[in-house]
Amino acid sequence: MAESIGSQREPRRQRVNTPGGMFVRDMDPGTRLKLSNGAHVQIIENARDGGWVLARYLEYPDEPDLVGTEDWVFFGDVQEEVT
Amino acid sequence: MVTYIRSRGDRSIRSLVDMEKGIVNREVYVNEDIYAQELEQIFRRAWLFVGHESQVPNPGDFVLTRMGEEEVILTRDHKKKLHVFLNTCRHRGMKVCRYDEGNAIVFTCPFHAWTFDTDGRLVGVPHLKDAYFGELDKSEWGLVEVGQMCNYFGSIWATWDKKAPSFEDYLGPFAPSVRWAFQASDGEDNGVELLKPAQRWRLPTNWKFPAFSFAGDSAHAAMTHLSVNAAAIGPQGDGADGGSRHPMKAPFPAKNGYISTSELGHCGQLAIFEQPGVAPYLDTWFSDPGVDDYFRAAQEKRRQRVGDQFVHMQGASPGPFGGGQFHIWPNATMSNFRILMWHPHGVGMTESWRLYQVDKNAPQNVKDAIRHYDMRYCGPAGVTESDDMENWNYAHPASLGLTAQQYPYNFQLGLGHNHADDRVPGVVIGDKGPSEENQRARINRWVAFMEAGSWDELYPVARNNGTH
Repeated sequence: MAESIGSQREPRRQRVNTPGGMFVRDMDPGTRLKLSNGAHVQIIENARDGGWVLARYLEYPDEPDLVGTEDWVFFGDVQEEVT
Repeated sequence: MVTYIRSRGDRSIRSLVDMEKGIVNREVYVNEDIYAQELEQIFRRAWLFVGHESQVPNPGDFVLTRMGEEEVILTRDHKKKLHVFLNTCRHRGMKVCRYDEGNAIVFTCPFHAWTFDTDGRLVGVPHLKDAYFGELDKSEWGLVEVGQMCNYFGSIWATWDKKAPSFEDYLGPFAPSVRWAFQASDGEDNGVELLKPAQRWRLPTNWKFPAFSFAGDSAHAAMTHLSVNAAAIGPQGDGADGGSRHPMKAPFPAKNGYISTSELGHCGQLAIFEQPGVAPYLDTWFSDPGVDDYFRAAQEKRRQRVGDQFVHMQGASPGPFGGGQFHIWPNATMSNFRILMWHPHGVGMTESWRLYQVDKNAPQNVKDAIRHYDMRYCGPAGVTESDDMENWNYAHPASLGLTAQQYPYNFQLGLGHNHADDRVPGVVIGDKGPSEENQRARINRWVAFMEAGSWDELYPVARNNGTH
């Protein structure tokens, strides 16, 4: 029996840069990101709208007081996924 | 305050309506300037039905609905609190939600990506630090929330006007009717859920044709619904006007008729009972095995719950054709099985919505029977409302011509033949045959809203005792 089409699909998660920033829509909570301002964050919740993820600051050289706080992060501010 | 029609010189709104004679100028239904003033004077101030809490049971759930011409989002935030927001981004006006219903963490505008929490707060703005330089105060740019919202036994109502009276005061003597419409068949408050999805379609007619006719125009039924009655389409399958097994004909002493309050604009075809308790159940669902068993048992529970109380201003029995329907000013008609919304969509267009209640604890076969009945009887494809649309959709264009506008509509049926009833203060009842009193009540309220500059002129309770 032929495999289902679904099993031959590429994984939904994509790690590509778009012209405006990192493609974040399919990233899961727990994913770590480096932002263009040098901060590192971890995704808590993903709106799945392609624009925003709710994240917690892990490192923030410019504003260390914000480490540990949560904020919405725009995909255009994401530089790369930290593996 | 006298309101003048902008395009008609010094002719006042009041000059178009003579309720002592039962005459209404056709311009009330076709004039563009009058329509524009209705949006401002009526739909920006009145309490409007927006939905039911069963449509948004979980945090993040939302459903789009309307208030007048404007689209709003009914949503439950992450703390489970209900909100009603205008569906427009504060930045450049784009809709922040384009799905009819769903679940969201945030509402993100697809234009420039401003994003809003489900509690309405603006929580994300691209370039907030590097291009707005931290100078944009997000707290001032949240979603626009209604002036007041009320969860009334599960039904959600809202007004843009923060100065409007409380919803229960707004309802006056019709508060028990709204409560009844959202009770389960056994009388449990907030005991229903709405079938999904809502039916929505547009009628090429002015919103007042259906909104001022429903629950007050039984004189049309014999001719308009002749074929439906011949086909015996009711659940009882038994002829005209509900048939001999219509619950309104239950052997339970009551004054059934046209009940209205012209001061508030609400009206209905309801009952003032001559004895306490509830009517015995009449078997109705002959082609749906088990459904009558369910409703009969529910009616018995309701009888025990009601005890020796009088349940005025309600229908007689559970389920579809429960024996009554009513209209809450300005554009919500409802009973204990359906909600009919008449949203204005231009002077000659009405967006009609149908929502159907069903006991949330009913077995699936009962829910299915109700749904099938709703589909064949009501809505855009239902046999009775198709009849009604024929009338409204042709009456409007036939009233547009300058010659046609010289001749007023006649609202004289039953004029002067109503009486008060001490058991329900504040209403009059017409129980001597067909009457247009319920339509006259809405037109009276229409004049009041169109003329009033404030709620002090609109709300008689406030004028009478100054406590609201």
